[in-house]
Amino acid sequence: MAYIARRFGVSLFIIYVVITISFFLIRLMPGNAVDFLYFQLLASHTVSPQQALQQVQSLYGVNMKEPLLLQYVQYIWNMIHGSLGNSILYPGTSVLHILMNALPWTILIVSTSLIISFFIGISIGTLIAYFRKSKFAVLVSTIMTVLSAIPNYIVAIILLYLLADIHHIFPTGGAYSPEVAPGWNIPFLFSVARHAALPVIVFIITQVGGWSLGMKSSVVSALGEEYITSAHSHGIGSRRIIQSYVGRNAILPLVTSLGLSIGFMVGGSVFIETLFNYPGIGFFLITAVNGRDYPLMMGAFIIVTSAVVLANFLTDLINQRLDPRTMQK
Amino acid sequence: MEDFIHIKNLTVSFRTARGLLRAVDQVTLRLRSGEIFALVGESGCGKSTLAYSLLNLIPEPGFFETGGIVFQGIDIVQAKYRELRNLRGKLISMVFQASMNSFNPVLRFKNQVDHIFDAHPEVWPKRSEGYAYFSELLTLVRLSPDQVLKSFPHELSGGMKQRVAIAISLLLRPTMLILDEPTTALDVLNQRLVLDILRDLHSRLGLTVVFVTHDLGVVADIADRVGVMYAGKLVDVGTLEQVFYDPARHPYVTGLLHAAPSAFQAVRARPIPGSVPNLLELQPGCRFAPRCDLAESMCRVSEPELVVHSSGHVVSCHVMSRMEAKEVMVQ
Ligand SMILES: Nc1ncnc2c1ncn2[C@@H]1O[C@H](COP(=O)(O)OP(=O)(O)OP(=O)(O)O)[C@@H](O)[C@H]1O
Ligand SMILES: [Mg+2]
Repeated sequence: MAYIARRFGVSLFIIYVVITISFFLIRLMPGNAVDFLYFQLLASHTVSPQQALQQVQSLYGVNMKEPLLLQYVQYIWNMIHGSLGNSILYPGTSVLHILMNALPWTILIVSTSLIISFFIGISIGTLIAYFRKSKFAVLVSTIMTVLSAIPNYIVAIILLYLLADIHHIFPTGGAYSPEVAPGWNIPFLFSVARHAALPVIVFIITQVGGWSLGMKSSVVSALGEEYITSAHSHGIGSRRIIQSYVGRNAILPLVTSLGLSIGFMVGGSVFIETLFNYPGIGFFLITAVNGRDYPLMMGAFIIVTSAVVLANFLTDLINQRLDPRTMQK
Repeated sequence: MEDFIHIKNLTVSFRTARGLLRAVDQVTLRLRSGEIFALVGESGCGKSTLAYSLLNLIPEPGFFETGGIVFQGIDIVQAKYRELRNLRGKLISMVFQASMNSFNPVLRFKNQVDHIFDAHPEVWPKRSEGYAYFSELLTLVRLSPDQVLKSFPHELSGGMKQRVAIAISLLLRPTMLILDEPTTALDVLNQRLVLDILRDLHSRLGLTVVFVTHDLGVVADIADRVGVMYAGKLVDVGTLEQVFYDPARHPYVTGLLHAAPSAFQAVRARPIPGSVPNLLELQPGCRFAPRCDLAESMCRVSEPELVVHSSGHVVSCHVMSRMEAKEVMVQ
């Protein structure tokens, strides 16, 4: 218990450090929305420099001229009180509001594809490990190797082109169709599934190879363990041996990489969501970066970081439950 | 006496990158019901492979090349998976050479024992009686049943795990127990303990025991009969008496006895010169000839067969067979 609390404390601390680093790094980026608009107004020759500055500041509600450290302290203070400021690109909307609307969509596609690709991957991996001598297993292994090497945005572009642009089987953007009313009704859920399908498929295609190959090597090494032969020597049935002896042990290293994988996927969702115009965290992160929307950018960073750190924390907990050797009392 | 198990012309081979490696080469051996049979020989001579064969559990990339193993009317080499499952653990059980690694690291002993009960529900229809028996066995190997059952494998020491493995091997009251070097990883005290327990169990349960070891001291201590393997071949089979004292024993056995720390010899231990041949590069003739004091020209040409001497001692050696034949003629 104390261990879990300590581990949780460390997780929070990591999140804080990342927030701090991001805050200062973002301010160091050249060019910002305020300057951009300021110079635009000046260029129109209808206002004086003084007026332009005032106009920009009232529009965005930020004071870019304050010392950086003061801005930082203010930011952290506000964050603790549940405010991440207002967006610059979407004036009048709070960052928290935008992100809280985006987060469920990212969670939806990342967790769905993670669960599906993990289970398909370990099943395929176990099979090709057991039948590793057969031609079919060699072929499947090769396909998995190729799949694991293709970058997800390439798969995304191909699928987008084939299934959305040409054949219109799937929509090219959004999280659901504007014609359906959000809520627990069939048309809405169906529309959500249809919009999430392509991003999820892209993730599955690009993730399943890694899981299969990881599981394959893990199963092969478990099969060589003495306790497998021993289990056979007691006449224990093959199904139980596959599940409780081979599978149970082979899956341990994969569970460890689940945490890392969630990090990669949340990172990868930046490309995927942008390509599919899917309104998740990654989409808004890119939008914010392109538009120099600092508060939104910061907010998206915080969410992504927290997701990765918390995923690793949870993975640790699961691993402890699965592997008695790492159990802390 | 009725053969308990009959190994007939058994060859077990491994497909390796450099050709076929015959780890067990045309071995014929009969075990008798209720005996303690010791299998000895230098490292790599095929003892474990022969032991695994008895359960049809040869590790990859090994396979049965020739022969059979007849046990209770079935041939273990040809047996179907269902027959093997029924036999494994229940009729014949085995304690592995590295038995401290023979437990699933993620399951408590209780679960692993449960799986064994599940595999053979007919042996202990009342599970509680099965557990009572297991507790008895654990007490016998001086372990605390409650503590063991709720532990994970990593929570016990290597020696403790070996003793648990021995207790588990007896769980289903098998008729035959194979012990592959069960004491080599134990300290002297634990070694004694395990041997005492085995002798005790053997006399009480009347099991047939195959005991694989390098240690001739242990052999002298518990074996009824002894088989000696050299480079995949069974070269000498006889009673403890015959193997240790018959002058017509295989010269390799004589070499082993001389090489052993002087429990039986007044003289200093004298290792056998040379080393075990590479099983992938065998020369024609007797495999022991290059290291043998008695080797003759014939020994380098033809491989000797196993011959039953008049005493009943079985030896595969040209020289000993000829001497034996002379003796027989003189008499
Ligand atoms: N999985 C395997 N693949 C290839 N060769 C093997 C394999 N297992 C055993 N062998 C070979 O078979 C021969 C016999 O091995 P085995 O383990 O039966 O010897 P052993 O008499 O039990 O030796 P030790 O006393 O060291 O346990 C050795 O030459 C070994 O190299
Ligand atoms: Mg061995």
